[in-house]
Amino acid sequence: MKQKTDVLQGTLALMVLKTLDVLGPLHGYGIARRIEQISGDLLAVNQGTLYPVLLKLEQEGAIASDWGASENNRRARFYRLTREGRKQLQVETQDWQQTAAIIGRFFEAKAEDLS
Amino acid sequence: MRSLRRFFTRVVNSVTGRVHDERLREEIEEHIALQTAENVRAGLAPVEARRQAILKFGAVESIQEDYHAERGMQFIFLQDLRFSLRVLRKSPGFTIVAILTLALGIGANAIVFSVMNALILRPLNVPQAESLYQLMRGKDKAGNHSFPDYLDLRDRNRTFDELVAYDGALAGIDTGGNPSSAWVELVTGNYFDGLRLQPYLGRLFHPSDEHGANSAPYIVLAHAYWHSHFHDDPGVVGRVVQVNKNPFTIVGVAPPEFRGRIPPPRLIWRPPLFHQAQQFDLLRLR
Repeated sequence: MKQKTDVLQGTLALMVLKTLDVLGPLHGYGIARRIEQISGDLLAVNQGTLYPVLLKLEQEGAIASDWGASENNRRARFYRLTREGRKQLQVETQDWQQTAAIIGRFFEAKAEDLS
Repeated sequence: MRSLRRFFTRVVNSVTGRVHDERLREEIEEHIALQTAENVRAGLAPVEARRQAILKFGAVESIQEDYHAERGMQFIFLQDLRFSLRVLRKSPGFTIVAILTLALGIGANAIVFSVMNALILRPLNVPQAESLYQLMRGKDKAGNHSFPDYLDLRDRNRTFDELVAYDGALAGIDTGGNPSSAWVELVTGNYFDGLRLQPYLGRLFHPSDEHGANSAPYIVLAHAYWHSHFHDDPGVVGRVVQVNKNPFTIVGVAPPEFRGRIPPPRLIWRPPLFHQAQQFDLLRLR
């Protein structure tokens, strides 16, 4: 069994934004499933923790939500990305890629490169 | 900007007590139902599928708590409040001094404001108050006018409709066996006409009532004074009361909204004693 990583709140928010950006409006369960699938089940979202994050994003105005019908025809809350959320996603994606690149270079650096 | 928006939403939520509990409960239910269905498709027995779904969802209690904390701010406020109360209780000396300082400061300001409010901000409750003017002397002279000055000004006035004079004094009033002191406003006979006031009861006096020194032994009561000392007795008109041991006849009661020129409220109006060297303020009406 693979070791599963806890998801930091900030990362989770970014994943939610990206998921909604790629897949369009989704309910909470759908978002949780996609995050699990895309991360190759490495991230077992302690699925419930998603909901406070969704509320936070909604209060910030990055996403909006409405009631709709789920695939088994029950009432479910659907979340969608707002324009502001899309902007936020762009900025954070850049930040993240920059950080990742720096950390990557850091790990690749060997002793002889520095001499 | 984002955190500001989030902050305002949370404050609004806290103040309005908007409840999202129902929404969260419904979302959790739906979430677990979907996960159960997925587990059943994967081959689990329904009961086991639901158990796994609940396990995977995590501790509902702690999620609800996070959700609440995110929704509003009541917890933060309460904690701050409790903490400050604890600190205050720990140092009672400081607390008492602080509370006294605040009380005195607020009290003093309230008194100053109420005086300023009555003196400057509150309009004189008379018709067409906007056309009233106070006549002042040059800034190096005394503030008030002598009565002879007033007479000169009045007789040569061509600019204003009416020129009235008034002065205040504390006097002993005896309404029958129970003497007390009250503010008396000494006013010229044209005072009520100049301010365009109508009597509440009886009549007000006019310039035609003036017949020289000490000639007008009558007074008009303020409505508040009539209420407190005569218990709204309409038979008060025509009664004789002692003002500084001289008899005066009550001719009427002023309207309730008119409380005189300067606080404390003047309670009674009577014509001035002309032979006295009074100082007068002037008020004139265009």
